[in-house]
Amino acid sequence: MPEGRKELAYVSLIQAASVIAFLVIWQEIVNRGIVPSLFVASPTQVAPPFGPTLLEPFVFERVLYTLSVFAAAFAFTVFAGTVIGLLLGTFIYLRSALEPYMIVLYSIPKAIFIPVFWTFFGLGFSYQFWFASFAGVIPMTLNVMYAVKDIDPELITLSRSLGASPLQVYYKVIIPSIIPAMLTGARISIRAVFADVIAAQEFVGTTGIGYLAQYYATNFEPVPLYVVVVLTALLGIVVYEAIIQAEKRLTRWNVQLS
Amino acid sequence: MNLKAFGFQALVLGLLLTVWQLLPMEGIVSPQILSPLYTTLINFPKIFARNGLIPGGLIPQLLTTLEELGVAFVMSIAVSIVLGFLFGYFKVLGRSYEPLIYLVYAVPGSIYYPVLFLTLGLGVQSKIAMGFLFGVFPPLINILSGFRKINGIYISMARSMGSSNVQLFTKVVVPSLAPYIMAGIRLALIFTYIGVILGEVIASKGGLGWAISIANYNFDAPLMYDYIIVVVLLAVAFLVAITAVERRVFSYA
Repeated sequence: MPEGRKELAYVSLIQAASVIAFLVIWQEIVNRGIVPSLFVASPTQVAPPFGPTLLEPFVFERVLYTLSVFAAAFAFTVFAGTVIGLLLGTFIYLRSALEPYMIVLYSIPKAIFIPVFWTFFGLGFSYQFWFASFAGVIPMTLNVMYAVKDIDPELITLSRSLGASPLQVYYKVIIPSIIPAMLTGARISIRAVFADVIAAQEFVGTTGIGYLAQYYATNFEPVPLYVVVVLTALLGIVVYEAIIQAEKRLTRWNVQLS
Repeated sequence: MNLKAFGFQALVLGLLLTVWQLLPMEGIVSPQILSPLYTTLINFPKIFARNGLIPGGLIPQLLTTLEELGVAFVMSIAVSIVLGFLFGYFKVLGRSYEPLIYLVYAVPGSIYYPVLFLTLGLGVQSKIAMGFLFGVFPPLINILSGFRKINGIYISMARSMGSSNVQLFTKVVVPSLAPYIMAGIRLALIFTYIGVILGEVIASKGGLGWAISIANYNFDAPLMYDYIIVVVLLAVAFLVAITAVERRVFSYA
């Protein structure tokens, strides 16, 4: 067998074994009562009611609600982050004035602002939307800002000297050079936006996946709780995979020469 | 330029604080929602009151948060370095587990919390687990990408000069990885703090995040903003501390 094929076989074997071991250990922890079944549901308990639980309107509608808030907030995040990032990257004074605050905002736990957002916007769509956008826009902005900063100034000088108008410089030089960074920013933001929509719903209100998880956890119903958590994990993985594929496709031309 | 930038930054801070004072004072935003800057600052001594809204005042909450953060941070660093070296050194293991790590990393972190507090309770354990889950992946991914960027020429060169495996490890691998490990420590600190505070805000029995929630439930806006200021200042202190450590460690660079 060739070396590469052999290694691939080992890799798949290790991966399959690890996933199975994880499920078996999880099952055994519940079966042997290491954690009381009041608090944990085993894989064999979660798998059968997976479909029926999701089809209940109580669950189904909330999942769709979370997805709609997430989609709206993510679209807004990408747009706002790009615009702010372009502004901060283009105007050096603006950047030097705001950069340290952006870095502090990036590093603080955004959760401390959930109470501020919900008291300001009230319960419902808008506080979740604004909170998630606020949390997501910071990595997006930072990525775009540094990308604009790192554009080779010779490209701009060159296109200027060839008679490009400022608008043309924007469309022909600046925008194409920030697209890889935009996608990287979007990849970081998409996790933040999804997680923070759910966090906002966990904190207060009766909407969305966050409320569902909170509701089942506080009522000691581990089976539907684990159904919701597994579903959310799958949704998170699908969304993240989608953006990674988009990134690969759209930056295929961007061959690193180093 | 540096002094100029500093001036601009001070200007932005001044502007922010002015807006914070003016918006509620002029009635554009209700003071119940955004308590004016002056009221918030005047209220600051109350944060230490032992028999106020927050039992024990600031100090026990601060200690709870620091305890959770400390344990979660040390765990994240230890686990990510051990796993990082294991996966980096044994290529087959790395190739097997890296995709799985990315899959788990893609799960939105906040969904873990209801599971954690149901299993581990509302005490410090569930927050430590939350901080660990937030903090372990960023440094691990960072160390793994560091392994991929080790210059192969250094390794062949050390080998051809007759270095042993141990020497290769201590003289080439560890020094090349040092920047990635240091950046990983920074990420672990930031993200464990984010996870710990998120858990405290959503449901807990103590800590800075819990104090923010309690002040919010009781419509005590000035107290809530005081605690928010404490959390932000703590984050700034962490950033300053870790930057100072980085400067020391990389003083040769």
